[in-house]
Amino acid sequence: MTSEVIENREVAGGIFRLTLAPDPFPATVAPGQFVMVRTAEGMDPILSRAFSIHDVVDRKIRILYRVVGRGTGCLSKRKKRDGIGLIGPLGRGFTIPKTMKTAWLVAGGIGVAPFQLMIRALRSRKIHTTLFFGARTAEELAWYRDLEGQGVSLVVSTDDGSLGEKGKIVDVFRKQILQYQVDQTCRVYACGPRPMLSAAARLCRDLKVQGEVSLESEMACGLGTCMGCVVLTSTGYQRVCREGPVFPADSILWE
Amino acid sequence: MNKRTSFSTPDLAVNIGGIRMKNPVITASGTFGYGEEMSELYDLSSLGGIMVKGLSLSPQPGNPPPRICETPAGMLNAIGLQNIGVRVFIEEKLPMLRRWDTRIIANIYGHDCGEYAEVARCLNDAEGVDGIELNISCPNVKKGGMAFGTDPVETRKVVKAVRRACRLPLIVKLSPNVTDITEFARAAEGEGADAISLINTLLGMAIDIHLRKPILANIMGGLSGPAIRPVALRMVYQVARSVKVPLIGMGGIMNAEDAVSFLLAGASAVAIGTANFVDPMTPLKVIHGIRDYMIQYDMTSMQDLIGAL
Repeated sequence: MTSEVIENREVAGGIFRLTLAPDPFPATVAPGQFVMVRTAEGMDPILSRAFSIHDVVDRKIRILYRVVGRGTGCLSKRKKRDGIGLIGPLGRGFTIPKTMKTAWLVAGGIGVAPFQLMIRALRSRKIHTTLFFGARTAEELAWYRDLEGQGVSLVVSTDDGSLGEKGKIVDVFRKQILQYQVDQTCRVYACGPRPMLSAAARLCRDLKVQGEVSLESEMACGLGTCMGCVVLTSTGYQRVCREGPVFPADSILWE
Repeated sequence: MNKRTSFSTPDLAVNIGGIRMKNPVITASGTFGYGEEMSELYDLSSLGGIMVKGLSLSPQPGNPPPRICETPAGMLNAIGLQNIGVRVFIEEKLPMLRRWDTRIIANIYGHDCGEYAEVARCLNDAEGVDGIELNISCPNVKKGGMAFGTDPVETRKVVKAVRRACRLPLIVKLSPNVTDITEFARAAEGEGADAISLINTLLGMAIDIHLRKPILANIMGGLSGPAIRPVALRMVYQVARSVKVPLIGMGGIMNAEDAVSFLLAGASAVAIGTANFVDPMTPLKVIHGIRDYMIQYDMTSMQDLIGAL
């Protein structure tokens, strides 16, 4: 499908929020799903880039991205009213069991992206939600005031201690979760760098709490045909684009 | 018939070594799975044919990730032929694929001639496979694959073994990683291949200079996409002048203009590969574009276009 750029705004140093009006607008969008995006006009870069859906507002899709390479560099230069090719939503998102009462979202850096839409879903179900959000610096966190006032508890940390607690967000989360009563009505959702995800998965295992992780992988098609994005799981190689990007935390073989 | 024929719709039908296709556009093996995912996006009956992901006798896990890497005007892949195995394909995927009015070409590979022949035998006995594409050119598996496609003696042996094992139309997919590709085309034709498809990927590599490591876990991979198109076109041109069997041209075809250039060079059909990843609607656009080209130049059948340099 095609989409029109409504806004492409730098919300913090090197972090952009892109608002797109897709035509046609997809019938369903689930939290944790992603879209394949043509970052530039023409064929260079040749492959589309996968971005989790950050938010859905007024029949528009939002993507939150950090400029890290050529693809995201090209995307950051797209202007209002530009047309951008888009496929999606794709993949399996987060699951929210009916019996759930408490959600702990653990986000590392730009891994916070899918949680805005997730928070909307959790809030509509009146599920008690806490977002643990870690980043390298205060600047990467400060823009995220949006979240406050959405009925979500927010715990932040930075690598340099410039905002919130000093240290990795998984460690902050571990300390806090030990004070809570953990049962089957609780669930952990994590998105961020791989070491963070494997630490979160270990924590879930130790505390016997269900966890889900959203993975990132190099993708060519995003549709399940190229077999390029696989991750090793307890049942063999699984496609991040099709069986994921969200997997049960205990299914991934982290090595 | 008067001059008015030029206003009628041109006939895009082709016959590739006994496989009669409604149009000359096929989806290349390894870029289309077994059709399931793409069938959610468009009607697969529009296609001339589908070349399914490479099948082996037993299921294969494939290579560890990272498996792909974007490169200038292309990509490297080292999937390692991850597949469900020929028997599961026949039981679970083929019945679904048969629902579409298109030709199903099974791409196969083995670790030795016996295994190649066994896979071909399974497919020969199955209902609903229209042809076999013999993969002797995959650069990403240690045994089999490209080893058969870069030594003409081995090429002859494997084509001969598969030819004996099945009556289905047999297409041999050639590797570009050789000095003289026409030698391999003649070898395949000499052993009874009904058609030749070319080219598979070019062996390549990429390095992460900060980690000082190859980007692909497999170290090397196959280069595809527009970067290889001039090489592919040159090889199709050469092979078209060396053998009589029809050719399926592929290698970086992104649009109808690219496809037409392969047909002019002597291919009777084309396969769309990497472009499926870039824009999954590419095969449909190519079919329409070929038709438009034929109308523009007053061509009524594919015979007017194939090899018309």
